[in-house]
Amino acid sequence: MLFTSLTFLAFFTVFFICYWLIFTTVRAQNLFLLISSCIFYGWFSWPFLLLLLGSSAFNYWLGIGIGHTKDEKRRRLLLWIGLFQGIGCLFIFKYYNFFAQSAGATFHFRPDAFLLHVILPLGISFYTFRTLSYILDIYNEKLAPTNNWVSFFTYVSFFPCLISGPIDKPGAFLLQLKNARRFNGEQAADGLHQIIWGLFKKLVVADNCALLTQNVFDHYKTMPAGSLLFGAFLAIIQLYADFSGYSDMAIGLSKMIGLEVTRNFNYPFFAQNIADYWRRWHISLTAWFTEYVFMPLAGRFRNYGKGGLIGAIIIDFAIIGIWHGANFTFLLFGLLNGCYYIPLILRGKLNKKPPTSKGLLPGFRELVNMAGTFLLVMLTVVVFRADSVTQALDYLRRLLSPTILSGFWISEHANIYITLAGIFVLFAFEWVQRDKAHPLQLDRISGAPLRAAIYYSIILFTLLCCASATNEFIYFKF
Amino acid sequence: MKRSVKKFILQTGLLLAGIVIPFWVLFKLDYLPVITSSSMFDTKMMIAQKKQMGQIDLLAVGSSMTFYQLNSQLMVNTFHRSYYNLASWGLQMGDIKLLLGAFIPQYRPHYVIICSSVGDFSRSPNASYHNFADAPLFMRRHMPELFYFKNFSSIRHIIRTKKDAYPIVFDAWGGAQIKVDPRNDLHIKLPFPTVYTPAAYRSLDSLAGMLALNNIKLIFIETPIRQSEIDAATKQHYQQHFARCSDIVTRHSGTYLNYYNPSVFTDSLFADNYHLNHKGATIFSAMVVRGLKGIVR
Amino acid sequence: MDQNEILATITDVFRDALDDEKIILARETTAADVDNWDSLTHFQLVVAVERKFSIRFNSQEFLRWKNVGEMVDSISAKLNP
Repeated sequence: MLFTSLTFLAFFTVFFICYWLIFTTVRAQNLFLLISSCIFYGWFSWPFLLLLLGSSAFNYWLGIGIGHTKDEKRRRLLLWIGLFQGIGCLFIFKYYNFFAQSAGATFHFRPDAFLLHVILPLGISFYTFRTLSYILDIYNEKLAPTNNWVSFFTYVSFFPCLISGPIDKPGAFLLQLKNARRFNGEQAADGLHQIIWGLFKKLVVADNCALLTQNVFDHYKTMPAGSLLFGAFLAIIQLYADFSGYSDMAIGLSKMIGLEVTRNFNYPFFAQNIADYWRRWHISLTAWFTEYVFMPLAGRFRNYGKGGLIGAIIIDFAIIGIWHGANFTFLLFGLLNGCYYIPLILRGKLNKKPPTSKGLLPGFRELVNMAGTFLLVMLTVVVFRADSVTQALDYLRRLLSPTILSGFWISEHANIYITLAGIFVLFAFEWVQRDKAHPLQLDRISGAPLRAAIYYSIILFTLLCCASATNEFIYFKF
Repeated sequence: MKRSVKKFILQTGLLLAGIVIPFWVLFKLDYLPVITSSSMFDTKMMIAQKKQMGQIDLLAVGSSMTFYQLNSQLMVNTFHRSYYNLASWGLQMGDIKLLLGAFIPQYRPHYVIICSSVGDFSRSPNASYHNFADAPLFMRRHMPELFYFKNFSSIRHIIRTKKDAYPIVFDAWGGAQIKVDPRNDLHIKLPFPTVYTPAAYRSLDSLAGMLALNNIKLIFIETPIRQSEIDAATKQHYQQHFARCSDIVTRHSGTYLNYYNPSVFTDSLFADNYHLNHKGATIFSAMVVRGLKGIVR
Repeated sequence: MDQNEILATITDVFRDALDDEKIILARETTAADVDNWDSLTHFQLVVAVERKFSIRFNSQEFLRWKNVGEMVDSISAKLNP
């Protein structure tokens, strides 16, 4: 069930009505939420639902085990069992074949006999990170284990965020499940508006960009550097619009259910340096890695001063890269982003956020910083998007050639103007509304009819100009 | 609290109405939803839907081979059975198999007629036919408007598709006369066999098996090919193709008829290398009808 | 050094490290209440605090603080054993 499918619309309508009109006690609401999430996931695959539930049950039990033991050795053992289970599952389903093939290439044996014929269970990277953060938080004594299995299972399998995040921390989420949700019209309407914005980003911007970038990446060898530059520009916009659009839908749906989930994007293209960028891009994932990977590493390396800090950042980002999939391109993507931190650390500016403007126009310095950060990240997205490292390097080599100012040619069939109009609307709304959780929070505008007109214009724009050819969310692969 | 929920549902309903109404207007103005990447197929399915046909005894399916060359009037007048031609140009064997899977429960035919040529065995199937075939029967039969939302085509795309569509005049049974336009006769020779051919044979095999399982008689008809374009090597490929199809069809107790007969279908009866012109199609249909008389009872 | 003095010193350290003179810390303050105090900067704050007081935390400690108060307690325990 994709969020943009008719099936999901029917599912959610029934869910919404039952949830608010029939199930009003906390137990009934949580149980209903859990059952609905199971149906939602089972729609993709019933066997993998068992993996999800098994994983949840195991970590629920581990959480209680770690929380109720004082013996440090035993706590540590249980934690390691949990890490082994979570990371082990990820490894088997996601990385095993990649490692076997790489090892085969290195040591010259044919890996066929060692390959597993498995497909990736949907959302495993996301829900595993939820269970991991649960047991880690209990181990670090930041959280008491919950004794309510329904709550915990709901946390792991919460359907709006199950397939592609955001990855919520257990503390805040479980707290919200303690009491019955009371319907709040304003919150639900805000959620609906966020969904509208997410649909606009996904259907108009991302899908139209997809048609163009597909063309550029398939034929980059025959295109002038100007086209490759334009292709790279569209690729990063596509990635952002696709994934942040999905996140907006997930967050909006959660609000309609009466639950606040963590923010995933904070207008990353207005970031002024790389640290700022990663604080605004896929926030829930970056925050997870900073807390559970970077901090312990930095603690271990702290005797080495700035060098230790750089080492911790680079390892952290290498793992973030690999999290996206079993391919050297993702590793390189992570490493590049890690390396971008080096000047920032050496100049001691990691902690300091550059000043931001509040008005309609950005300051000159701010604009230069934003453009520079955007360009740096754009180059890494080429690597992220390419099929292989060789292709990525070849693309970049051709991109950075003298014909870069040649102007561009994409394809006579493509909707370049529609795409650019969509990108313009995206940037304009996000810039003006950059202090809001999402651009369709129009509380500055006092007249309800004007607000309604703006919402409806966005809907109409989407209906008129959405692209028709693609339907899958990019981030589902991960 | 319940009041506020109801108020919210009402407001959301209004918003959804704001989305549904433009499409409803489009539907009334005959700007039909884009279901597959073939606008001709979409148009044809919508026409068939509007007819609200029940059971159909004689169902013709396939590519342009069936679509243009089987004369509807002749079929109806001869057999006096319910008949409809659901063929659409460009369909490959894999597509035909897929679509039959959707047509059979809907029309419950007794006979399925496929007129075919090597062209149906030479390209990859088109995934967009899944958008139609995988849709629930209820939706295809009673609520085709839902396709607007199932497939999410932009209004621009819908309007442009209608504007760019190749105009076809369908007869009352879904058939059409080919328009003879000498400019269309490019003397193109389809490459055959191709890498897709083995999969196409497998599709034909499972199609024939599926029909046999449902007690439906398959009638597979090989159509003529323009003689002057065929060299000796190609001719040999074609002979192998005929043998292969005949083998598959008869193995599943279907009927195989071959009208590849250069002495009857001379070059002047063709619109291009593979399609007969109207005169040729009339002769072809007459022969088919004669051939089917002993089979369709 | 009593708890209030420690809190005042930490506040100075935070203002300096995060380049923000408006920071005011209380025992109940958490990372969510202070702009720029996130998991990335947390570690640098820890190092700056260690340097200021000439003490050293182990990673078990600084990964577990839930608010400024717990940090103050840790420091106080190290200064007045």
